[in-house]
Amino acid sequence: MSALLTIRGLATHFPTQLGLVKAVDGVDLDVMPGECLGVVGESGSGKSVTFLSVLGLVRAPGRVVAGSIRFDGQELAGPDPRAARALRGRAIAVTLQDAGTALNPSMTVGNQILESLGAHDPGPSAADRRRRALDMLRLVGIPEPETRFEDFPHQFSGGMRQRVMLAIALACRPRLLIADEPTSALDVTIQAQVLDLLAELRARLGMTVVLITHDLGVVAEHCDRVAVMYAGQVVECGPTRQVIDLPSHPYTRGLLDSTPDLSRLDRKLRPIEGQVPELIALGAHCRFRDRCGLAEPRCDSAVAMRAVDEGHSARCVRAGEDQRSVRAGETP
Amino acid sequence: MTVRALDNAGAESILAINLRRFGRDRFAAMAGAIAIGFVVMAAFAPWLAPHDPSDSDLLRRLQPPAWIEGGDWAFPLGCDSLGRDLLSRIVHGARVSLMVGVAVVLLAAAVGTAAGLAAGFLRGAVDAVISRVVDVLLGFPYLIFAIGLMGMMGPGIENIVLALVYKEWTIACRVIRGETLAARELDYVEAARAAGASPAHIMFREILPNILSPLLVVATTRMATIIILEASLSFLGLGVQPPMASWGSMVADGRSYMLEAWWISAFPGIAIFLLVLSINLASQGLRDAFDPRYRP
Amino acid sequence: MTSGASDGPLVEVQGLGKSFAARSGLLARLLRRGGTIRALDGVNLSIRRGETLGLIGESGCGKSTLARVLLRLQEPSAGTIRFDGEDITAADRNRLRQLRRRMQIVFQDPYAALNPRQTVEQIVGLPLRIAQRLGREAARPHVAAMIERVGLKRTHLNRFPHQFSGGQRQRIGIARALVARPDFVICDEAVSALDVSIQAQILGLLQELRRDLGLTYLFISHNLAVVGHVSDRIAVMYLGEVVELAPARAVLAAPRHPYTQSLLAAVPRLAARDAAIRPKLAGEPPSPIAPPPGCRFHPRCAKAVDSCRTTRPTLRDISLDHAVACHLADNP
Repeated sequence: MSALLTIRGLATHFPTQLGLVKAVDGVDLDVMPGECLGVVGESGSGKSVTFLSVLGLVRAPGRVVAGSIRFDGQELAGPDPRAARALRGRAIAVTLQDAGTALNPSMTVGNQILESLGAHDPGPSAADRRRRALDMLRLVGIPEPETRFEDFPHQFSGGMRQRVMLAIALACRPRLLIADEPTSALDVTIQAQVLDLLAELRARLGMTVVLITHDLGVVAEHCDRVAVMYAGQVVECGPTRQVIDLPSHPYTRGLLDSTPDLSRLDRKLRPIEGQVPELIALGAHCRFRDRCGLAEPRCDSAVAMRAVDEGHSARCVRAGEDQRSVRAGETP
Repeated sequence: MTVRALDNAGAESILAINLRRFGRDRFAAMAGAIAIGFVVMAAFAPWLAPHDPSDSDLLRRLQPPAWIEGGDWAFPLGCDSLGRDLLSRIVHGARVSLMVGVAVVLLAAAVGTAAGLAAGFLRGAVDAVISRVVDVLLGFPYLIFAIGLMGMMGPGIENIVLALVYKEWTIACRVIRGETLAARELDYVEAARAAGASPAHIMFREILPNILSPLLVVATTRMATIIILEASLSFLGLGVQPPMASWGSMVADGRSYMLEAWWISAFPGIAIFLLVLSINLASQGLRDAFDPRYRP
Repeated sequence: MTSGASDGPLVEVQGLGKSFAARSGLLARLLRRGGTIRALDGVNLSIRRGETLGLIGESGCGKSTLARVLLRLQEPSAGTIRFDGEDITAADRNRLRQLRRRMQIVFQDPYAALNPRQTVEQIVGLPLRIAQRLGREAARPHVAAMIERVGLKRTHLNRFPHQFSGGQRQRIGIARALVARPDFVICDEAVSALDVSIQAQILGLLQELRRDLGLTYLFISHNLAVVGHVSDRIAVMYLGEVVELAPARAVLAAPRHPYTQSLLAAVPRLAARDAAIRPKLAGEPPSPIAPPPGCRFHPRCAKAVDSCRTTRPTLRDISLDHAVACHLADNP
């Protein structure tokens, strides 16, 4: 099966007064049709910027400086920005973390859905479009869609706003939905509702979903595969259960060990010492080297992704060769 | 996306960072330099002006600028209807404009800060009284209000300052009140309360230093407006009295000679324009550098 | 563990209530939209010496209001607060200033919690200067010792908050809370704004300090997994009241209130579990302006019976050290 979205060697840089920030630096990713891919990482890992690059939404002075982004065989990172624009909001849709600011406060949600419908498919009559917009509100589980159609975003709760944003994103029947931290601002019971809705819609519409999150628990319960990002690079990628149960990169291991989890309460939390490196003036060495308990001379030169197992790879010199020591994570 | 300050950055206060950021904005820094040039000119007027500004000589009456037929490089910008050197009068006139501008802005900022801080921090009855007074004062048209007061108090530079401060403090008051209301809800203010800090400590040590940046920005913008108002009052004959020179009264003096001696009105007018423009541009740069909400 | 004279609980609140005017604007009054928000409505709670009491609940349940009322940063509208046996509900300004040396708070947002215009030394030294009336010079050794105790360096004392990362700022906030050697510390979402690897560092630090300094914590968080990792006992709040209070193990392993049960079920876990067995909590919390009659949870509760709609349950012991506010708690 060929991938729906293929990212190769993507680099997105931001010039700043302190120097060039390499927010995304050599990312390779494949998103398979119909799957839910989790992209997980801490702030500054480049997980959001990677997909803003896919959508052509990187804010100036930031710029995609290298790499290829192919969606269904079509190149999006080429010199012509129209290619990305034509797909955006049509075949590829996005929902953002903060539904409070992502929706237009002075337009009714009904009109915002109609606008999304109209921008991409001006064909059908006004009555048809309205019916479809109401269908969308119903689809995302908003009660009394006929009355809520005329409401403004501030009249909705946080969870309902996230649903409205989903309705707008789904109005154009996208093949790929990029959900950037869709539930991070929500309470846990509402988060469960929205994630379940997303899973249900994915099954019903046969949609491919990229779920960007900082929460490994959300990935564990909702994603088929996961890509772990650190300091602008993918450091581990594989089937979710395999990555969580048998992590092959010391950072993934550290992330798992520092995540409080109800299913492993008797285990003591083990933080990763130190801080994420500055994304300015990064050396060629492994980016996790200075926080890694297993660092060795080989880590001083650039490290490529190495296969661990079928469809599972990690950016670590030990990946696939000495699994037990990585998993045990002992400090020498 | 945020970039942490590099660890080797020494202890640098926000003021230092803001000033450095202002300095990097070339355009604004240049405007600031021009405005400072006017201040220097006003401060050293007696040494910079080639002649005594009130030294009249009817032989030089309406003498044109040096580069026009009949001009004389000893009086580069020409002379007015009493034969006084225009350049010297403009250099001295800068004193009036800037003195009034600075005095009004400083007094208004002091009164407005005290009132705004009290209203925003104490709330309740204090806030209600202060806010109503501000609302009423803001209801009067500025110039007419000042003209009325000047009519009652009589002309003179102190009275101009007073007449303008009567209304001007309300602007600083509103800014400070709003900023105080926002700041008092912040966690670090709550932390000071949790530590048992007194209301005075919270007002002056925790809140005030953090709301001075917007005040600085507003004050510079207002300075330009005040200079125009002073010029207007002097133009109407309510400002400084002859033989003292003010740019506004100089423009007024030249009114009757617009056709034969345009320079009498034009040069003080250009001076007003340049000073106000440079202050406005500099204040915009200050706003970008000091007030993060306006930062792109 | 602490210097208290009695053996009773360190903090005890009874029937604590806090109401706010919902909207006091002129327009709202004209439209008669005004109302009272009951942020706290009859809260009963005791915090034992040396324990960490976890307080969890979703946004708007009143947990942060409880923190502020306990510290008398906001005045309670009803009920009593006892600290170390003394009724402090009506303590005057002088007494409060003495008490505030003994009770402190760590805030959520590491960016808003520190005055940007003050140096670390000024920020951390404030409680000493106020509570013990120490001068700058006299306070310095204590401040420096505390800064090193939380994992920062003496050389950081002259720096300003913007020169630190989020995790380092949170350490500064902790140093400020602990410098005057309090007995009781409220951690109000103290790690919620941090990335997980940093969050684990701060949680470890807080636990270490509690052990070494003999502190009592009220640990407030919306994150059940975090609370589960640090708490001895857990209190669950819903719409301004405590609905369950028990040892952490009991709450997490055998919750008795239906709300606690659905909250636990909604938290994503790393371990594989069957999505189908998760009971789903429908709907959203009702408005605290017009709470439902009877049990506040009954409109969302699958087990609700007639008495739940009319009679409000009180928090009562159903077994040793396990209190629940539910009519049906005896027959699970």
